[in-house]
Amino acid sequence: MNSKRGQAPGGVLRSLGERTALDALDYSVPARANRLDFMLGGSTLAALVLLGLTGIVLTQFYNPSPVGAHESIRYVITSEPLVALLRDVHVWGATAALVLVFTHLAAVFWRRGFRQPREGLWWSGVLLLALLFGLAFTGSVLRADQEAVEALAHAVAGADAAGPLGAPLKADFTPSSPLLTRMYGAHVSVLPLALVTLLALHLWLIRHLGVSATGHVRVAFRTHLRLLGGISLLVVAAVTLAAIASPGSLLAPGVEGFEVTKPHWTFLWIYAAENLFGMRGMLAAPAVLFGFMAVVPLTDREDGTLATATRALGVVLGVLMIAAIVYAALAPAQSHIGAGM
Amino acid sequence: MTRMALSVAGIVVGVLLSATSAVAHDRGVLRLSTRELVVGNAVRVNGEKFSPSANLELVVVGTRGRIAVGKVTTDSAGRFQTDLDVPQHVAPGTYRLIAVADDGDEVATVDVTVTVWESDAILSAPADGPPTPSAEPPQLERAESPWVTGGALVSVVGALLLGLIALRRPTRHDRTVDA
Repeated sequence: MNSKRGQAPGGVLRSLGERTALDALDYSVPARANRLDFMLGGSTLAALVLLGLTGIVLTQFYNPSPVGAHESIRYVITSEPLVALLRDVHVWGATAALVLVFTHLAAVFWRRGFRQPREGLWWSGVLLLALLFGLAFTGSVLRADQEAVEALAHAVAGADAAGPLGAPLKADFTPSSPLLTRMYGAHVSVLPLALVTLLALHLWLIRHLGVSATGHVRVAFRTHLRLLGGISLLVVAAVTLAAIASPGSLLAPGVEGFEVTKPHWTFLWIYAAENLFGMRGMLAAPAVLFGFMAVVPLTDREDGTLATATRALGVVLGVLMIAAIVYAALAPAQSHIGAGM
Repeated sequence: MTRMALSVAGIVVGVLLSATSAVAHDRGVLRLSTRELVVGNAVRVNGEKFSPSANLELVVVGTRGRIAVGKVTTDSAGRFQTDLDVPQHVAPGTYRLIAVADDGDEVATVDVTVTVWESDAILSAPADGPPTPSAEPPQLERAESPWVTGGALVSVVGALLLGLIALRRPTRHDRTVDA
């Protein structure tokens, strides 16, 4: 065995490191960044990767035509155990991603991680949240079951009320392609592309502006990555376990013109607003939430007088949102857009 | 060289021509007396340029489903004429009227709009009657495999163990102190 061969493992790794610029990871981060509340964003990224990988498999089995959509999912559930499990992981991965991103957002809001110079970081995060909502919505309507049909009907009604802004959600926007197929296109191409682009910006800003953790003690970023990897693996384990224990549901094929279901839990707060205020509530609730998040870095400044009020309003909105979700989950299904029950 | 290029070109043209002639039936044209269909009313449909004596099914396809509205057979010139009743249970909206050949190919399509709302409107209904919407999941026999479930559980345990190992506390060696 010659000396070159004896050094092979270390040499290969070193060589690989040189050629992939892994040295760029040799920098330090505040030790506080290793706390759980600073790893929620990275954990969300892990959930998104899981969603991307399972989604690639699901696209091989899903039929995005109105005629075959429901049947293709039914086929997966009844005939393809592995793909069915991956679908369940996909569904639970979406729940994990949304829970993690909301917790991440709440943590950043509470520690005022949006203050100068990190306003752009916050705004890119808010846009990422909006994209995640878009992905959750387009994903849930792809089932073409009763809940999906009602969700799509609400979107179309909202699009009608929104005027020209809602045009892409109208059935006659492109008459040659069904709305469901366009939702599929948005779910697998438009929104993921926008998500990856924004994510790249978000990560770039984190790398160059740093996280908002304070303290002089610093640790190697590789250590941070190891811990983040550990948490990500726990997230994957939890999501897979949830998928095994509670598989994703599929209702009967959707029947138009009725409202007998409630939306996915992530949209229950909007559903609650619609219960209370009708179509205006459905449009106003997300506008209020995202409008508030958009102005947070402008109103909560170190030299500003609105900092306390902004924080208080944020807490009130958060509590209202949770209360609305609980209320909508407990309240009986209601008809909102003139459909039968 | 020129001869070889001509030979290759000839082969390519031949392949393309044979592929073209492999199409089993002709694509036709649908002409409607109106594209504004009214629920419960009939619409005159004329078809032409189809294959002669072809059996076609006419279906209405919308955003979330399809419904068969009639069957026709073309004459020796590939034409047909029929009056279609727009079923009561088709919801208002934008649809495509499609002619489907025996082998399932869509051989003609035209965009239509259905008007007049019916409270019991449906789209994805079977032709034999209106379905009932339900918030309850149907009884599906889920495909199960001990290998899949077992593999998933092993993966869960593996991910948990690896995750816990990765989460060991940073050592003093990991820490650096800024100047």
